Parts: sequence; structure tokens; C-alpha cells
Amino acid sequence: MIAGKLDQLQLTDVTGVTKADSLIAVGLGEIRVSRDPAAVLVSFGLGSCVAVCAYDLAARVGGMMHVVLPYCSNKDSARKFPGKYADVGMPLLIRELENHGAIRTRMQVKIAGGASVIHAATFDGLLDMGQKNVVAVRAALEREGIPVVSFDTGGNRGRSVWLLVGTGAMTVRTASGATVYP
Amino acid sequence: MENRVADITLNKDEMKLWGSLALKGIDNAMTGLATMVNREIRMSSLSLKQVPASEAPNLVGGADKMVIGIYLAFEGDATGHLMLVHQPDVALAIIDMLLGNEPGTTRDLNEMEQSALGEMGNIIGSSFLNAIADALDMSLRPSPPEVILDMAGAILDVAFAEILQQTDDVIVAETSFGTSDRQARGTFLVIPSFNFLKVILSHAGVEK
Repeated sequence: MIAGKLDQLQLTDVTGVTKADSLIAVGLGEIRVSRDPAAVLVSFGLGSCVAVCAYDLAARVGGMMHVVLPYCSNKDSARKFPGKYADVGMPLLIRELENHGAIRTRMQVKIAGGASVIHAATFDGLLDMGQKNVVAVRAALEREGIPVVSFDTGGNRGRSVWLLVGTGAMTVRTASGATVYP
Repeated sequence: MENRVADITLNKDEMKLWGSLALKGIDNAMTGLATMVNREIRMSSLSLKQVPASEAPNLVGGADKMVIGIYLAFEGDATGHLMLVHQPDVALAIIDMLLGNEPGTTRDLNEMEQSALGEMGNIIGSSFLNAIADALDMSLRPSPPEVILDMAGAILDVAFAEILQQTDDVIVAETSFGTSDRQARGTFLVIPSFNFLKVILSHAGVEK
């Protein structure tokens, strides 16, 4: 539970990223890739979900995947929302980046999310869903051999996450402030 | 086949049935709330929606909108999620009402304020679940409520994670409610899991 004064509620101004000409929202379970250096990819209001921000600066290609669950037990269920599961989504994100001209060996990844916003009071299988998602995302990246250069994960606060395709910078905003991972 | 994506699309009759059950529950919940605050509570018509996963967090006016959410999970013969969503300033007005303070007294969300909202969540959640459990002769138990100040999408993520394990869509019953002077108002969301829909439909004799 978050106690405290409500004047903390003013969400930090991140106009630099939110006023981008080309803002691409990435919904639950979606993968979005862009090769427009002015594009900004964004996932709003992540709790236990994880945003995987992958990019190749040389090719100026960036992508974001909005992971909801760690592991997929049947590939059918990933057809409509390829980014729903960390394990089967990761190869698809990388393939999509490659299709846009990125080279795997130049790719870097930043991840954010995986909080426990609701900590007690939920079903056993859902406990630590955020942490499970982070573990699964890291394991999938390790299998693919792509390094995580920055991360902003865990805790108990919701996050919104922006990726600037042109620079690879990730901005993370919570109720208590914003952080830029250049 | 195990773990296939289930299609939760409800036909017209099933939707009607789910709607009438949800309405019965919400009616009882609002009666419970009215008794608790000793005021008349009005509610808007019930809205039943089926939305794709990717758009689900937008249900409450934007995934990154700051809200005060009172969240309860329930389990028993079926599982699902209940949430009351309030704009932060409205939640403070509700706390004043619940604690019998002059309007404008409450400014912070500390332990006592959170427990007042939690108590409201208990009343609404258990009245809602009791009405449905009685109608279907089943057992549904609410979890203790959690009062959370955060982005709406972040609060609902765990609920969506549970449901999206089995389906690609989320079914939601939503109604807004408030005192007649609109001083206190909020949105009540009911998010049944796939097994809940299956159970209620089979209880009522509709095959799914």
C-alpha cells in the first residue's frame, strides 16, 4: 500500500518523449517495431507486466514487447498476441527487428516493469507474477545472447515506459518520478 | 486440447444471463454501501464489455491514469477480480463521508483512511459475491481488500495476467455509482475469469 500525501500525485513531466511526432502505443501482449528515428514506443501503466525495449543503434531500429506472462504452454495462444509470453515472444521480437534491418549482434536491450503492485490477497499462481516475468525475460534474452544494458524492475510501483528509437534511450515514469536510461 | 486459447465470446442468451447475474450482485452491493454510509446511492446502467487483451487497461480511462483502487480477488467455486476505482480527490471525499468528517477534512491516504476504503471494499465485495453465490447456490469468498494509489493499468495487471493465461479477451461488467449529490462517485469493475463464466453458465443450464 502506498500511503502519503496526494500532492505526490503530479506525474513528472516527460514532455520530451510524450510529445513526439510519432508515438506508438504498445498494448498488452503486443510487439511493435519501428525504423523511424523520431518514433517513440510506449507502454502505459505496467504493473506485473514487463516492457522489453530492444534496439540496434547502427540500423536505427527499435522495438518494444509488452510481456504479460512468463511461459507459454501452447504456441496457439501466442498467435493473436505474440508478445504475451516472455519465452515465445522474445524470438519473435528479435525476428521482427531483423526484418526491419537490425543485426542481432548489435542489438541491446533495456527492460522495465515486473512490479508487485498488489502483494497480498491474490491467488497462489499469481504471487510474484512480476518477478516471474522478469526472470523469464532475462532467461529468454540469455538464450538469444542479447545483453541487458539497463533495467528498472521489481518494487511495488506501476510504471510507464518509453523507448526513443533514434537514441535507444528508455524513460521510466512512476508515481514518484521519472528516470532516463540513456 | 489442453491449454488451447479458450474463446470466451458469449452468445446473446449467455450475455443476458451474465448481465442479469452481475446486475443482481451490483444491486446488492449498492444496497450494502447505502446502508453503510446511510445515504442514497445511484448507479448508472450496467455496461457489459468484451475487449481484446491489448486494450483492456484502457477500461478505466487510461492505463497510466492515477487512481485510488480498492482491489479484491475472489475464489471458491469460481475465481475473478473486483475493483472499485476512484479519482484520488473523490476517494478523499468518500473517506470524509465514511468517517463522518466535514467534507475537505481528509487530505492524505494513511492507514486509517486506507482501512476506511478497505472496509467499503469489503462491504461491496461481499454483498456482490453473496448475491451471486445465493443465486447459483455456490460458494465465493473475497480476499481481504487492498487499497492502492497507482496507475490504473498497473493495479489491474495481475487480474489480466490471470485471465490471459486462458484467453485473449477480457470480459468486464462496469457500472458507475455515487451519492445523489455526486460528492462521492466511482466505478465498480467485475472481471470474471474464464472458469467463472463456465461455472455460472453451466449452473444456469446454458452449455459453454
